[in-house]
Amino acid sequence: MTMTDSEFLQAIGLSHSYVVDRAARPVLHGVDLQVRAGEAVCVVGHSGTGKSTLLRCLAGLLRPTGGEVRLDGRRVMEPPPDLAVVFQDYSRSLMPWMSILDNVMLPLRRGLGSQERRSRAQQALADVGLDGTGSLYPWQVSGGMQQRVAIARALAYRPGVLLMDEPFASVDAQTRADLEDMVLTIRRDTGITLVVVTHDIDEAVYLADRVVVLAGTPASITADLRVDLPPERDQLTTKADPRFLAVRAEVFNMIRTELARAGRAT
Amino acid sequence: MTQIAHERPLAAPLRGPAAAHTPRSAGRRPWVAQAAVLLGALAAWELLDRSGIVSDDALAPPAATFARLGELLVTAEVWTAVGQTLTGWGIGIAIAIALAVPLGIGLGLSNFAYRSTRLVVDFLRTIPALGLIPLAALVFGASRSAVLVVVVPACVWPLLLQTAYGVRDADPLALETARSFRLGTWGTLRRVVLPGALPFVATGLRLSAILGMLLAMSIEMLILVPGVGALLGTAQRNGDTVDVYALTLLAAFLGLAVALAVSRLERRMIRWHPSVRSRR
Ligand SMILES: Nc1ncnc2c1ncn2[C@@H]1O[C@H](COP(=O)(O)OP(=O)(O)OP(=O)(O)O)[C@@H](O)[C@H]1O
Ligand SMILES: [Mg+2]
Repeated sequence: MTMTDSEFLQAIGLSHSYVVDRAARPVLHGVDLQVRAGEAVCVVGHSGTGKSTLLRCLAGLLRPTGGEVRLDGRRVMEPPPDLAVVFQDYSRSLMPWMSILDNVMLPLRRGLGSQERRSRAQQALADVGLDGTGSLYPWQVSGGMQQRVAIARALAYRPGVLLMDEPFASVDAQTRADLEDMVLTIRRDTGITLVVVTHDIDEAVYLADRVVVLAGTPASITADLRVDLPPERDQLTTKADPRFLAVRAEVFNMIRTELARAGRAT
Repeated sequence: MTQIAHERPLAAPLRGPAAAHTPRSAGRRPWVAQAAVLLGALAAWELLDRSGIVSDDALAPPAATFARLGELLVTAEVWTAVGQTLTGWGIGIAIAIALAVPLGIGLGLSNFAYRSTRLVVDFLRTIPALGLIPLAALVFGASRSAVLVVVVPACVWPLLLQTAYGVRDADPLALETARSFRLGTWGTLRRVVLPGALPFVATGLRLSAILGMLLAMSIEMLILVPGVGALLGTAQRNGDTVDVYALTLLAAFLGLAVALAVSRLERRMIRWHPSVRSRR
């Protein structure tokens, strides 16, 4: 099989229908997405388009009803070993009976040894700014902190591919900026491949090499925009850069047009 | 949620001692109300005894009853009986747990098993446990086996069903998390499904433990298996009214002690659960 770099993580003609009241309800139709190794792709689209559905298909958690997902040339039938997911519903993905530290250590293999598992988990908690909270339980901390625990858990796992579903939705603006920069740092240091679903267009452009717009019912990818910015980014200067503003405006328009079209259709 | 908020009013610390007799503060300190009810019951007992409506053979005066209970509590015979009752009960509960929890896990994990056994389970658990007593007496005589034959089957049901419900109640997103991190069948069971089912198992344990104690003492009483129940049965056969009342109190305290101990254990088992968190 021939494979180029651009085919590291790919969705090929991906379709998915949920069954609601015995009738098929199509959500995704003919989604084609190629993500290069080490690339960061942000998926934007309005609420209910199917972004989480797409992410769950990419993660191997949901078997698409049509098309396929491939990772590194192999068809994804179940969650691959080198991939981690940060779920949108972060609080339910944390185990209430485990301390925060135990939650972060949950995916770490026994084979690592308890010392290594503990230090990795503590490092990941420090990376998301949660030093010293390890002994608390998830329900003893705020929603924003729970969300960061879920991120820390995925980071401690040290995956090659990280899928995040609106990972910064519940944190304040300053923490959000810090977490965005942390993700960029981790990317630079580890060459991780990232797919991030977000509602926030600024965030999408700031984090990504490419922004894809998911739209329509059933949804497909209606735009795929390259973010022509240097990899070193800065919250102030990057967000004032004309190239940043240009992509931002373009994404904004795409989504607005889609919403208007959807509005006319109903 | 709203109920908890209601029971623990936020304004409580601001209230002065003047509010101590309002119904709300009685709700806040349940022991005040409980003590009042207890005193009321004792007073009613005393009044009923003095009124002479009920004959002395049928009703013992409270003072004599408590005095007799005090005498009984310093005899080795009573403590041996308490030990025998607790042993029979404990063995019965242990066997019920050993049978019901693994079976319940199996039932909870398999949709097919759960659905196909539902009818049989519902049928079997409606067989009244006390109905087994004549059979147990016939086969085992006045022995501990007779106690177990009645206690174990009765205590299996709450534990079995609660365990199965708990396993089935696992949060789909927690399961998806386990799957995405490839925890495997055993890892998912041990670290996600079973801890999540524990509050349900704990409820089953509380139901079974109390039911088991009631049944154990009933069997002891009816077929004179050595234990608190047998002392009570013997006193009744001898027409010893004060003894009957004193031993009935003892049996009630034993049941209460078991209920309290199991509730405590339950709260310890599931410290993290929303029903327990607020009390920490
Ligand atoms: N398990 C399910 N069964 C039936 N329908 C579903 C299911 N999950 C999602 N849907 C429907 O599919 C559509 C897409 O859902 P999805 O969660 O993927 O949207 P989303 O783009 O992530 O939305 P949001 O931005 O609000 O998170 C929605 O209309 C939703 O109601
Ligand atoms: Mg979503």
